[in-house]
Amino acid sequence: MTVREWMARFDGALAAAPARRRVLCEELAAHFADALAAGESEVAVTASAGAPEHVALECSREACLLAVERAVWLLLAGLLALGFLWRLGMVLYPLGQWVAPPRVLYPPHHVGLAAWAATGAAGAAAVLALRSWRLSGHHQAVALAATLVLVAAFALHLVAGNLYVWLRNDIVAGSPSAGAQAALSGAHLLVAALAAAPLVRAARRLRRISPRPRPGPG
Amino acid sequence: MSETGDDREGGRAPANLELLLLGVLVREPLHGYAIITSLRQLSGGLFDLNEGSVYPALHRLERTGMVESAWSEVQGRRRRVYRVTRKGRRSLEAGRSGWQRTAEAVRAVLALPPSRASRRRT
Repeated sequence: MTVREWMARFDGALAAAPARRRVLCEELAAHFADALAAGESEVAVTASAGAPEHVALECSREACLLAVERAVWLLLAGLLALGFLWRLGMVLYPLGQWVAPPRVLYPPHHVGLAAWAATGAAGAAAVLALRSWRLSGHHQAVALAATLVLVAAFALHLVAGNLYVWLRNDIVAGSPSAGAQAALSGAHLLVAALAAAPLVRAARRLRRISPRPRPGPG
Repeated sequence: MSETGDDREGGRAPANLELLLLGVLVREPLHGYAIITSLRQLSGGLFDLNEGSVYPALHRLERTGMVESAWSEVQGRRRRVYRVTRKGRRSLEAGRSGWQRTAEAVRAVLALPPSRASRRRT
């Protein structure tokens, strides 16, 4: 097999984000160039590299785990941004229109706050678990489980948080109008979607390359 | 290649392939091809590893913070050069002492019993 054929099959079998794909292909191309420059034949270097699909699978796994870890950080940053913007909005938007200061813990907002805190804690735990050697054999399972927990907690936070705001607006004088509130909720959902999308994407890639458990006998 | 079996405070030493890679990289920062040839030379040809296992292991080491990498131009060609981090050095130390304990234990178990050893000498 020629290096070009090997690289084409590797590229075809790789499951990684475009930027990471470029890095991996460039690194392996440099490797082959070094081997050829050292006097090895194309057939020998591609044979010693192993099956391109197998190498691509191993590289994809690491690339996906790295992407999940980065996406968890992004989700945590999104979470902090949402919390900060929400507090800022509460202080700035009314510009002194509140008749009575809004209480933070109207139900169901305490559910949203709990989900917000749980998402943060789960995200931090996921990052630590993904960087632990002790759990290195289970990183794929950790990453997939963490994605489910984080996205579910994030969604709960969004639903409970927005529900709270809409309910609160009916009972607290001086609250934003329905149109203004819809715009705020829209922005809230947009930030959340931007923060969660990379995690969902990376987890889907990881799931695609993960071996499926075989059904037991009987 | 499985594990060194070394448990230490706060984490486990890397599996042997990663330990070997750290052992090569702690001498000097190297790119992928140089790592493979260096490993082959240092082991007297015993560890002739293929790219399919070395690159994913390097990426695993990088993801877990044991090594860091950067593109650099070596002899007119762009290559990704890996270097060991402080965390990687600590892990290498732990893995090295664990491996020595394992090797001594295996040697002790596999050593010939005294009666057979003296029979062989005569």
